[in-house]
Amino acid sequence: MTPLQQMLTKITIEVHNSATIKDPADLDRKFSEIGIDSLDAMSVMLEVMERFDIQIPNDDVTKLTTLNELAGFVEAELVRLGRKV
Amino acid sequence: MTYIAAIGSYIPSGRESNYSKKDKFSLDDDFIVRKLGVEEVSRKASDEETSDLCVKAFADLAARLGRRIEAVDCLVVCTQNPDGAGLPHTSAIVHGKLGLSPRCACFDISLGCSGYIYSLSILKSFMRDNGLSCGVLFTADPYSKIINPDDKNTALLFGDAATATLLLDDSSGGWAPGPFLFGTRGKDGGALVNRNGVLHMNGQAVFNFSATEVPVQVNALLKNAGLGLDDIDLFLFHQGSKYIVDTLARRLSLPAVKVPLNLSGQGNTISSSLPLMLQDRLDDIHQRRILLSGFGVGLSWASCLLVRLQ
Repeated sequence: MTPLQQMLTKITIEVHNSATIKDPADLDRKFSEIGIDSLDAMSVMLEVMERFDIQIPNDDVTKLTTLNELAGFVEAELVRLGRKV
Repeated sequence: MTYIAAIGSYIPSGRESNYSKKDKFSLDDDFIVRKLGVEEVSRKASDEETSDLCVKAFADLAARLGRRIEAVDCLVVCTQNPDGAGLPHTSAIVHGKLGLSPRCACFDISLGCSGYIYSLSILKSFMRDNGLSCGVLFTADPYSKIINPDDKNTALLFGDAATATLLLDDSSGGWAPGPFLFGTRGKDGGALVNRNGVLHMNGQAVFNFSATEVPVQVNALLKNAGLGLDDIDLFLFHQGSKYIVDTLARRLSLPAVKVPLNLSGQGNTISSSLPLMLQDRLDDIHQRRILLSGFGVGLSWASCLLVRLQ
């Protein structure tokens, strides 16, 4: 996993320590498939926004359904802001 | 000094079970109990108006006091779902149904989940500045009027209820409200909106707002008062959902014993959720300082201290 993927995995497990993230393939599984329900997903999104100091617009939140999709968004946002990924 | 003397309430007997909606909304029992925290939502009868809920809360208030409530100087209803189209104001309708004196001041306050705290501050100042000694603050905001039963975001959460808080200004004692802090993020108001008579809520936006603004305000309120978290006996947070209350407790590092929950049997009752939790705690001699925090539609939030007077 990349450092960004590792960080997002860490955040997800902090939010719900029973989340099933054992190998890279899990990063492409839907949140609900790795044990993250809709409310936990909200917490993950908020933690990501706060840890990376970025905004995830509401319209984008609903489109980010896997950790890899979230990683892609975070990476693009950091690049846009001229910050190190 | 104006103080809270007693609180009456009315929760309609109608109920919708969230367990009966499991298949419809793809839920399991664990989500209902441990995340939402709402097993049933209360629903008023179709022929009950907002003012009727207030009248029943007032009857409960009088029953708890064991006497008639005489000489009400001011009557306020906090609601965003008034009787009819809101004209006349619901507080005037309640005044008429209770047969109160024509010298009684009545007005409505249009606020939701932050409404109880805003209303306490408004009424405290109104009574003090006008030499009034007996006020009744009603909260009654039946969201069942505007909920879409097919909307998972709202149909599982919001319940109907009303409360009546008796505010007196004499030397008897009770709970003194204050100091207060308030906040508004009007540009984000679209997160919780009545659109063409139907409630719409962006859960992520409301969650983000609540989880970020409330801890900041709570800490600021305590700092302004020269107090710490340990100086507070109870933290009563608006019962938006079990998840948001748990999130706030975690973010503020509060022990669970100081953060009670009360939404399983009726749901999120908007501005009634805080007085419903206060109601049976007013006579607990072990509590001396309670912090209230309400947050929601607006987006609006407010926090205050309640201090027991001798």
